[in-house]
Amino acid sequence: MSRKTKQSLYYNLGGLLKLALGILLIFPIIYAAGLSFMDAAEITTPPPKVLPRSFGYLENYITIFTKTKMLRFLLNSLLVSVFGTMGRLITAVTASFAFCFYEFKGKNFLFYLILGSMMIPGDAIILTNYLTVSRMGIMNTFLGLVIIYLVHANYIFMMRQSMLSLPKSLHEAALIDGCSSLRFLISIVIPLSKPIITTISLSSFVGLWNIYLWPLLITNAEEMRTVQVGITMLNTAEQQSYGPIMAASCVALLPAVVIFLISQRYIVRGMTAGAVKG
Amino acid sequence: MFNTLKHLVMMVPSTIGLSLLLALFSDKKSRFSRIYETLFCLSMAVSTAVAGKIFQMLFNPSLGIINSVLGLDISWLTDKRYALPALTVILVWTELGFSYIYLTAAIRNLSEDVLESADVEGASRLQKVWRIVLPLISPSLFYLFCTLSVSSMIMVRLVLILTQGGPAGSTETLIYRMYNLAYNNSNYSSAYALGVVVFVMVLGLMVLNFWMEKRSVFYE
Repeated sequence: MSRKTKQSLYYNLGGLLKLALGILLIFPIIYAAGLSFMDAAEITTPPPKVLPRSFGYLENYITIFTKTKMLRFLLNSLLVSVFGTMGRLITAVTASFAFCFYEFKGKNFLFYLILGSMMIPGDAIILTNYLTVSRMGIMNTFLGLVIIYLVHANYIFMMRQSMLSLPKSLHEAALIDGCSSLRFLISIVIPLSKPIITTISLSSFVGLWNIYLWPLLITNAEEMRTVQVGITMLNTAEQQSYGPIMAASCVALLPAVVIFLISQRYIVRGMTAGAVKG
Repeated sequence: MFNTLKHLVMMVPSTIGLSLLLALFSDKKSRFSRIYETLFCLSMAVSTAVAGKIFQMLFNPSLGIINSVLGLDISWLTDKRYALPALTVILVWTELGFSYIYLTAAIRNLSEDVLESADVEGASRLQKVWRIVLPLISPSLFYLFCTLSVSSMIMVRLVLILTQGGPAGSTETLIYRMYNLAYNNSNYSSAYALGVVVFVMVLGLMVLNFWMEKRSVFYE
């Protein structure tokens, strides 16, 4: 065969191989989706299968929405993700605005303090946070769930990097023209930073949707649990309910996956913007 | 404590190794790029809790796929010898997505000139990778190494969901022990002490990482 056809054969084969690898990698997700459409008999008869006979068996999904508090879990997770993201956005934008466009005493010290807090792994200080929050008496409330997630040093850092690329003279020109700093922030800086704000909010939403440890600690009433904690404690009427558990897992991961797919471009761009180049 | 270390030693090299392999395959953008990149990094969107539940089903000795495909008969999560590796596999899968994207971005950012001149000088593919690509992306590798080793030191979510310390304590990690002491035994003082110890160990790990950085990471 000629060299050209040989090369294009390798090209296509390579592509197909990568596609196959990709499907292998997301196999657990496919498996969960497949199992959620099978009834209990089909699941427990050997040999184990991946794809169901038909996609018409919706009993599992109906079970989780009627017999458990799945909707409430989803609502809780949604509230935590939305409010946490909003809190993080507000603090990140205002803090980095102050760091970029103002000079004040102790600025460097504060910045290094924030940088240092990035280095502490969150899970190691969870006990201290738990005791503080429980003494504040807000266990089992939304405030307790959200409170430690309202500020994130990583996002302050990212916003600062992006705001540094805006020229300071822009701020001075705005002041000269009689625009107050707050208006400058709202009308000029924020629209200019739209890409990074989108990246931060999407990645923060997905991150908050997926957290497990803190909601587990801070809630013991079942109505207040988020969806991640809830699905690990699902107790439905039947004893070994594989189908409903898989259905619940699919429902729990669906929002994160959907948002991730939509925003994949932004998240990747945001990550590579901050990546260290060799 | 040894469980944590075993887990760390198993998880970090496998994650970085596997994602590096995948990233090296995808150094050129091709017609299929969009699709398989999305597929490869989809594991980033799945949370640990959901992944744990799904893998619990997969690892199920009689009903799960893994035993039937491989023809083995191991009860993964209840066997003392296999519980910890099973948890490691789950975590490696979850972290593959992020590591893959990070390394692919690093590899694609390398300047073409260096690679082309290596081709001109007759370097084989393996030599190109080992001596040029790897040193040039070593900052990214370092970042991954740092973050993955810290997160595997404080691994506790999967233990809480799947094994609760596991068959005969084989999956008890440091932070899980801290959680246990604080909640189930109400032994807050020991739990605090353990928390401080873990924090110091993580700090030591970071210092070790930075020391290694001085020795082997190559910045331009």
